[in-house]
Amino acid sequence: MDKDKIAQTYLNYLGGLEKAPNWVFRFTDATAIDQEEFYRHFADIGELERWLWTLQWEATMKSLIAEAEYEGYTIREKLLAIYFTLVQVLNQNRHALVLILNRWMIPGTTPGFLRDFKAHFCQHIKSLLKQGIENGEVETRPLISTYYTDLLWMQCLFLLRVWKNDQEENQATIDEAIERAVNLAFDLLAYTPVDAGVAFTRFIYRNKKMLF
Amino acid sequence: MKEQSRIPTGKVKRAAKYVTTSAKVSKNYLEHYAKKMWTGQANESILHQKNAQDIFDSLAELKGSALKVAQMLSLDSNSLPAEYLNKFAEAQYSTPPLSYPLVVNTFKKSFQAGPLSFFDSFSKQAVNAASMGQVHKASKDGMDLAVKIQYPGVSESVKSDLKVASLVAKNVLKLNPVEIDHYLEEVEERLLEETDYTHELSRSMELSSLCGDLDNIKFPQYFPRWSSKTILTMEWMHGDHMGPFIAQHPSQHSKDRVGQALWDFYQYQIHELKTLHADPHPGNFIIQEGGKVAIIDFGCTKKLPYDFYQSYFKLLDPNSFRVSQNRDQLFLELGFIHADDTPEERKFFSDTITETIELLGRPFYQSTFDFSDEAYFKEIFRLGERLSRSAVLRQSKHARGSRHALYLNRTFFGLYNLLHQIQAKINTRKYLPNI
Repeated sequence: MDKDKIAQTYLNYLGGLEKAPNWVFRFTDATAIDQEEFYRHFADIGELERWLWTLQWEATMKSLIAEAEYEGYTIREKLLAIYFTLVQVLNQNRHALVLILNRWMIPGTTPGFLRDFKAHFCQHIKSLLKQGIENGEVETRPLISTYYTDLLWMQCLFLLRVWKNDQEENQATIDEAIERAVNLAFDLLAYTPVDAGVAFTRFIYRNKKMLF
Repeated sequence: MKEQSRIPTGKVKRAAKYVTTSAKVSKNYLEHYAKKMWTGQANESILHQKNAQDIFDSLAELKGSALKVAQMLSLDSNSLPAEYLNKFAEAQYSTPPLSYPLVVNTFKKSFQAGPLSFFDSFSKQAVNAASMGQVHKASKDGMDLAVKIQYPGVSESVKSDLKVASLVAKNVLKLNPVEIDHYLEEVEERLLEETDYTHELSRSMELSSLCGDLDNIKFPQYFPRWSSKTILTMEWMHGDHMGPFIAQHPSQHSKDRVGQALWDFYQYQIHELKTLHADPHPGNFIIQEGGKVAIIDFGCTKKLPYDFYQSYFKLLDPNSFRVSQNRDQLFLELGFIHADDTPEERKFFSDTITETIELLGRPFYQSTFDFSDEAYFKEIFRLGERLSRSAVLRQSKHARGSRHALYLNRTFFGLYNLLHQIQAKINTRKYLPNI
């Protein structure tokens, strides 16, 4: 039995539960997986769940690349497409993934099971931001630029929480949340009046003699 | 409500007012959630009430247009709120156009694949805004198509906007809750219908097949296989909108033909079908080559109940109208006057309504009517002005008129306006009320 098979079994197992288990033996007992087999791949349930979220990310990327139009998108559209596709992927195992997300108590923090997911996400975002800076969609700013990736990760966490709590049948809320959050982020990342204000203030400071 | 000492005038002051209002509303929310966290429960309706109060307080302080909006709700519940509430809903939902990935996502949700797997071409950007959505142009097998995509979450936003509107009306303007609900229900029903494109699809197909035989009226073909709750696909209608059509200075003959087509379309629906396209907004019509009028948006349709139809159109019958007793009976039936009105109120409303009806019914009393008549429209305008300043109307505790009249009146107003813009001469006798 390989890693992915165990992960899939775990997803199916969670599908019939009300709360995600804390102990490995509950899972192995219920699904007749050999404990030794389990421990050969994962140290504990936490590591398994971390792996599960990595799989979600990989599935998202795979289905995005398969889309013919994706390459031609702007950076803003790419990020939108990532979130929309991620939601489609997550929806395939909604119940199980929500059970895992229920372990996440405090909004704004990164739960353990999302650690690897975050690494993948941030790596991808960094390369997108770099492209955005090159094509002028994203403005570089002293000091603040280094935090762009973290800010977008916070956005991703926010959207995951909205997805977790959006129980409507057609999930209009999460769609609206994605659309509005990404538009806000990119309106802020682009050249804004504040940038013009900063530039002007610096000019005045350098030329203050002209005023008196 | 708090006593108000002065009206803030400068732009900065007004803006500051909006900021403090939002701050107050946020504070209400904070209080609400803090309470919820401590006690595990908090009353939502108290929250909404507080918000409505704070919003209204600042509206009252701003006077001008802001308050007017709130007043329209209470005063002109007969013809304006539908208009206003639509505006309100739209304004609340004013958005930048939907991003292309979201459009793709909407398609995937309905059909499990993106638009390009169905159409030969699909415009990446929206070409037009539509009621609660946007329109993309597509093509398939050489045919141009219009694809309407709905904004996500729009039905939720309609509901919450109406909740705020009704709370303002009830708690702050102190209107009779039963009556306000009665109107708002009607508005909500129509607006929510507009948010379901499957409903629009079936209504459109039904009405266009029923009206298919009318002269000079054309309907687009609809495509159910590419339509869902949030997507509506129809034939792209080539031609001019009303504005450009009029700007080309068409001959009187072609103006009359277009006007007559519109008139017949509405009268046929009202008197023969008793169901109507209740949104005579100029953007919903396309004038095609050869003077045919294409009708493109059936988002808002209204069914007229039999009883209502009977009493409403009895009003337009000059004979039943002359006898004063008959008249009061009808007004009671239609809710223009109420049993507990004071004699002055009763007189005021009877007279006003009679005047209004005489004015609005005038085209029906003659076999041809010239809608380019400026004097007629000035009269309507003056009556509206006078009513909006009337103290009796302002102090009335009742909403006046039947809820069904809301959309019918709006349709008549809209139609008259449209015909006035076109400057058409109309034969009004083709379809008559059958009572």
